[in-house]
Amino acid sequence: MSKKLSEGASYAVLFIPWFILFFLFTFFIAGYNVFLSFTDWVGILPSFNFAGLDAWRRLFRMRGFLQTLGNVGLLYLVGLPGTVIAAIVLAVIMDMLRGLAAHIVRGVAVSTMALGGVTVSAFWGMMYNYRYGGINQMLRAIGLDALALEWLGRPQIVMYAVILMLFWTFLGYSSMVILGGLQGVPQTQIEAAQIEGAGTVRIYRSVLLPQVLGHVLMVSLLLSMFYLKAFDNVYVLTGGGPGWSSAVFPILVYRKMFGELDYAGGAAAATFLFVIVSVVAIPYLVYTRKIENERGGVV
Amino acid sequence: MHSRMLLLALCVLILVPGLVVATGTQERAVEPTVAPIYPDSDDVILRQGLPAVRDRRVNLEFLTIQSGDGLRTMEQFVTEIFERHYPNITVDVQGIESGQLDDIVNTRLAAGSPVPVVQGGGYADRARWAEAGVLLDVSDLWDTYNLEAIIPDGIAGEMRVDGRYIATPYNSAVGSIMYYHLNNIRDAGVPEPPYETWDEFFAAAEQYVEATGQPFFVDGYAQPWFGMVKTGHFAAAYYGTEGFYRIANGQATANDFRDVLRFHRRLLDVGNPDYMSMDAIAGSVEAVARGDGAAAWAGGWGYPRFYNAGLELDAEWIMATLPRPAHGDLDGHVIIAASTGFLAFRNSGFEDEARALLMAPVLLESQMLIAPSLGFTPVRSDINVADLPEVGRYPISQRAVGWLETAGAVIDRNFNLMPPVIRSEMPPVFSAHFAGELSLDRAADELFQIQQENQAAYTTVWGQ
Repeated sequence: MSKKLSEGASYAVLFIPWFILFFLFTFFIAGYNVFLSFTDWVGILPSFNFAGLDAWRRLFRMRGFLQTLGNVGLLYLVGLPGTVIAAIVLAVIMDMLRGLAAHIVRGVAVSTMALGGVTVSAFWGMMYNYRYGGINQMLRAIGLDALALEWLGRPQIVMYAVILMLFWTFLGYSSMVILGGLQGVPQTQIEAAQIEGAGTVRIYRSVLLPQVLGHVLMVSLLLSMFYLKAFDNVYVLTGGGPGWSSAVFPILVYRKMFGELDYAGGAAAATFLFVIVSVVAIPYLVYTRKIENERGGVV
Repeated sequence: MHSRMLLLALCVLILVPGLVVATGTQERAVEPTVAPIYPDSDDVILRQGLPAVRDRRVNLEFLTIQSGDGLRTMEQFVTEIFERHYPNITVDVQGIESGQLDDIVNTRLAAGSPVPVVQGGGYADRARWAEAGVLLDVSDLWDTYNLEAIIPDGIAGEMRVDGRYIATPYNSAVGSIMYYHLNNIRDAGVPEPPYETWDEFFAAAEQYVEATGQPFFVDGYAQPWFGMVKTGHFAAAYYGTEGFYRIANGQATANDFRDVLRFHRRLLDVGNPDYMSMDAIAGSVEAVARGDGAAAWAGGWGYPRFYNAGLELDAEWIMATLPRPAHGDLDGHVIIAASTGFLAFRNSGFEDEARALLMAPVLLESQMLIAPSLGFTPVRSDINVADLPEVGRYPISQRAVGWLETAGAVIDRNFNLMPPVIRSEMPPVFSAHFAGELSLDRAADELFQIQQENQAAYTTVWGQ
């Protein structure tokens, strides 16, 4: 008993400081942010009064709010599934490759994540430049001048340009996670399938890919959170413009707080973002917990 | 051995092109000269002695919106002039984008760690900070050194809020200069600038577009806040100043906004197809200097672009005022001018040193360096513009003073006068209209609605 107590005390000594810091920097700050969203703080001076739902009303009536919701919807309907499907395909290709080719492809895949968001956005900004960008230069060189568009200047297409940039940024990482899952499948299962006469395609479809469903779900969750909080990439590339055409929620928060000096409104926007992230994350956590309990192990 | 050779070869392959690119793309360095035309004894400020500071070594943080040549001038001013007078103070000069000044200053204020000194920002920003009580009141400095006797009231007024001085002037710039690429215009066979009226301007523009198939007027809207500035100013230049001040004061009608948009649309019709993504501040001037277009609007910062393109002023390119208003009863051109100043924030812990830095830009020797470096007009009336060092490449100062003297009206940068919520809500509507998403009438109605919804935010009356 005393040995157990002493062990428990050791764990507590190690755990409590971390928990205090974690609580302060996550729950407390998030809670404080929620509190600020019910005040009238304008940010210049650290003083404010309770203002009820005023900031929330301003947020929902903000002209760019619906557009931003639409942009996030587009990210989820086009960007997310596109990235996940492409990541699966790339992971399968990398799994099939051997030797130097495998190393090169994997190295290129992870290098996109090694570059910072600002670097990536600056690079894509140059690529998308109407006059001198690589994309339009290439299109003009092959006689497709009509397709050499103002990628970052047209509200109708700018969000797709942003999605392509984010797709490029996160594809490598996503594919590596799925590749890890593929390579974790026991060799005996593959050999058993081969003995039964299954070809490569059948092995992937019926043996390997079903076993990486958990990895695919995890990648989907991570991507959904990356996309929701993508600020530096989008801000450097377009600033959320033209107008609100490529604005995402962190940019809405930024403009509210620092553009309009409406810190309470920005806090409301940040709280709204937190709610959306929770709506996405909680079902996944519940599902994985359920699978863990059913299988008695890791998903 | 082989792997070492391979490594060495890789290093050479990476470093050499990098060095070539780095050296090849450097801009020509600007070396404005500080000519000793006015000795220190001529300077009323130095005769009285600069403000005293505590005897301690200090690193003073200083944010400035200057960039490129302007930033190099600022650093030269700090090291050669200010730090010479105050050897115990080292100024940490940080150049930031002008659109970010608000963000950085306000977040630092909210965090309780104000930036000691900044240069930049519009009058509305200064007024807001002054009303919040976060700026140092430097009225005593103005009184001690009798600055009102040596700084024109048009500039001094921009440093005052409710009768109190909260800044000292750094520069006074004319921001309404049209740059014309004469070579391109002559090759197209259209009448040469300067164009006295907007009718002449548009006649030449339309002829040019028809003759060459290329844009005449190159402009950009990548920075919407700056694009909105130009929209307002062009409209002021075309319709006169009454409508401009109605917009600035939140008293515009939907028709006023319709006029503003209609006029800017006319400019876009003779403009570049990549308007929405072109860099608003310098990109358009750079494009015209390169030969991709015939005309661009900018301030004094446009000059170095043409200079660096190797073109000869008045022979291969010219700069001129905007054409005269087509409406209203102004006799002369409308000039957009603005002064920026040095501001010091309270509770930074470096208030003495900040006050000392605030006096530095108004010294004679400082203005003799600052004014010609980028074509600013001197902020001191006891400087004869003809005495400014002929940095040859930057004769804007002399010309700008001439334009100011013959102007029908001088107005401040419109957008800087607007409340923050207007500066956030209106640009997207302009963007949507210019991108073809919103019709003229709908955009005008929406701009009017934004104005009406935010009447309480218009706390200052301009133009009186």
